[in-house]
Amino acid sequence: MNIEELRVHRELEKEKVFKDDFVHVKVVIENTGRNSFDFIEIRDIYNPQLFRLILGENFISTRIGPKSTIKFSYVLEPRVRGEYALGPLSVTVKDRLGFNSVERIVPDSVTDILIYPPYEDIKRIEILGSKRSLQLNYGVQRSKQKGLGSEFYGMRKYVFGDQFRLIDWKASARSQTLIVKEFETERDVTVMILVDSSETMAGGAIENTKFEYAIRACMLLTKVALTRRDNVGVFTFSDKKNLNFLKPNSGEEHFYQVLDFVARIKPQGKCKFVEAMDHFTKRFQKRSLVFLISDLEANPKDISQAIKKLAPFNHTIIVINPFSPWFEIHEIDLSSTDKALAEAISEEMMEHILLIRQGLRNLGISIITCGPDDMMKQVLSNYMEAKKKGKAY
Amino acid sequence: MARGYLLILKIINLAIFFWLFIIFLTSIFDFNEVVSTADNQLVILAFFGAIRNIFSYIIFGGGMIIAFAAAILTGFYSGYIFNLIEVFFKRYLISWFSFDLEHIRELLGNDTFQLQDLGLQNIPKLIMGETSVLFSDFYLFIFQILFLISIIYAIRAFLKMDPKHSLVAIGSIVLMIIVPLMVEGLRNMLNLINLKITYLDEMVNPVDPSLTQIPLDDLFAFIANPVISFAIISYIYLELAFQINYTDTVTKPSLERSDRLEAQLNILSRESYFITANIDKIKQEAKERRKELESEEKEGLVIGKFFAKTGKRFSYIKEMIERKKLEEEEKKLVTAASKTRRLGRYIDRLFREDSEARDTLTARSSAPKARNLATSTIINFIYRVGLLLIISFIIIHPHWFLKTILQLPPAITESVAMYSPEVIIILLGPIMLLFPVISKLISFIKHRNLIIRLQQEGRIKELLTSVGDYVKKEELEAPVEEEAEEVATESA
Repeated sequence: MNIEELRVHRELEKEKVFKDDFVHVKVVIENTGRNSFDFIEIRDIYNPQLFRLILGENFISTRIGPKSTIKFSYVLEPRVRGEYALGPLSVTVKDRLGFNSVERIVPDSVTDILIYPPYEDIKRIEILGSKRSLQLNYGVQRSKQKGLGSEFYGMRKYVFGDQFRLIDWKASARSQTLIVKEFETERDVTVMILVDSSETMAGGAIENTKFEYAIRACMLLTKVALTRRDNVGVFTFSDKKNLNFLKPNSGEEHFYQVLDFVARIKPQGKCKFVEAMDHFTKRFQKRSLVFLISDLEANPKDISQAIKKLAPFNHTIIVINPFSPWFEIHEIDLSSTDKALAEAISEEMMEHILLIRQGLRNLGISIITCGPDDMMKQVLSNYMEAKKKGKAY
Repeated sequence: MARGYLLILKIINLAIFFWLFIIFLTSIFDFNEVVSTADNQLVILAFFGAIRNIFSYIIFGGGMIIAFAAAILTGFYSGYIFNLIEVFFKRYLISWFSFDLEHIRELLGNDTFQLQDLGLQNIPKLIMGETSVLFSDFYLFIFQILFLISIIYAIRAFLKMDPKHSLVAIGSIVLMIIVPLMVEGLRNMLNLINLKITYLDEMVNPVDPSLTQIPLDDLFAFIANPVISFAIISYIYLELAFQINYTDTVTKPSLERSDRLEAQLNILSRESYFITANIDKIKQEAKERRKELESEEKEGLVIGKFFAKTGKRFSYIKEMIERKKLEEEEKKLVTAASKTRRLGRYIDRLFREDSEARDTLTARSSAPKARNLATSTIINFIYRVGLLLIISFIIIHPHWFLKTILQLPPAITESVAMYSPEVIIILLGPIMLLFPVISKLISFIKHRNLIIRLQQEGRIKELLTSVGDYVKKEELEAPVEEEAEEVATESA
């Protein structure tokens, strides 16, 4: 009964998976020795707070013959976005009568698995997109600017200073006056999504925190903006140690870079708004459409001061504020005391937000406060509104 | 297949138990000796009769005492009252009890005794006499109990896989041999000091006297001896019981898992089709319900209004909770429906793309094959029974072993001590300790080798980390600025 003769490893169907997707985990046990193992028990350990066992079992008790291989598998559903470890594998070998047993953890049997945010919002957008034109769906866009370019925009009467090469002679002959053609240039909008990743954003049920909603909103916005050929960058921030910046870029591939980027972020640290905005302005100065998603649970003065730091760069700033009590009150059966407390907290939080709102009013920045039900809708409609008005070009 | 194999093993084991029982009853134990008492009364009836009699005497005597005590305490202690009580008990109340007059006369040693004469003075003597009868019956009654336990546990061993039942069944039979031998031993020991206890002398010895006469010189005669056959068959029975338990332990999880998973997959496929067919209906219902709720709660639930109307702030949480309550059920339904459908689609795709996925999920391929199990069981069985026979023979023949195998000098092998029964211990002790000691040694060496190997590979820390903490601490502690730079570079 030499346990060393057993080779056990795990095969993952995929190492990157969306939160609402499934992953098939296969465990392969190979007996390389010439003797059989009368009783082996293999257990693939996973954290039940992070994964839910959907089908199959993560352990097996059986017998394995000499030079033979057995396999078992199970299906897991990730519960929380992030990068987590699966494993280790534990092997227990017993003799026939169970008098003697050896247990061992298989070395190198921990596999990292990256869990992306849920795909359901993106899927909905994709379904809508496939049903009708995205442009029609999202309204008029003015991402193009009149001037030099290749795409025809329209005609107008000649004015002094127009280039002669732009004169449309046929049209001029028809109308008996000089007519010039106008062309438009396509201009990309850069959308910067600033997500607060401080620990206050992690409040509430583990699967439905403000941070998880913020990440979902970020993903959705990225998808929509990239579909409309805008550049998208992401900046997550809390304290000095937790500042992560992803350069703006466009294209289908960039969506997966954003996914990878946000999947690894964990809400931690205290929110240092001023330091974070300092860091951001150092890294990025281009005029852009900035979405700041934060619960704004910091000193109102700091928040105003931090946002003022963005003003010199002519950004169009939209502050999306997930209202904490709306996200954190998830228990249905609250006692009357809990309800009273929740109401008191809501009121206090509301006063706090109103204070910040007043501070930012002078800068022309509005704060959009939302709950879990309307957060995605708000983010999307504000983006559409900004595009429609031609902001941040 | 494995289930069939298990059933065959169980039937064989039950047959072995009957064989064992037949040897026990025909050649070792005379059951007739313990079935009836000296008065030709069935032991069970005599035993329970004695218990009944003791309680009858206690109740009758106790009743009389209480009646007299009550008369004294209430002040009616005249001779007339006492007579009345005595007459009441002896003439009327006695007819409620079914006292055996002959038996009472026997216990009291008075052939002319009448039931009407039964008084308080007779009760202690009757209880003492009946207790003595009870004890002598109890010795015989033990065998009946052990016999019943043995049968019941043999049946339980057939129905369940736990070898504990087989051990109890065999243990009960062995106790039926050991108890009379112990009594016999005690009797002989007391005889040595000329001490005689009538009670002990009256105890019957149902064990065949030829039990101690084991032919030692011929291996075949040794095996054919009923006692040795009984011991070997007992071992075979227990060995098979453990083999059955092992086979069950090894095959049951795989079989159950396979059954369970097949059932789950069937349900999933059925539900998935059902939901696919009805999902629009479910969603439509949910949508309508939501619309109703929204229209009902519109005034109180618009977040903007919460900020605007100060008067309505306090009711917001309450209303939100109420709405959540209403939404919870339908949300659950829609989520469950959607998840089942997604899972169904996922499993379909998985089975299409991975041909062995079905087998690995149900672990059908990992269940041990009946043929392999049978081969392994037979080899192990022959190996162990053979080893047992050889070891038993060696232990019972220390003289032969020490002379031929160890080749000790005649001064030792021909000594008087070598011909005493206690010499068996010389081999019995070491051989009995041999297996646990080897097992411990192997375990110790393996553990030491593992520690050395892990230390060489520097893996102990890694293993402890992987077992105790899922979060990679190095990542958390790594400077984030560097990470940010890396991400930026990658994206660029």
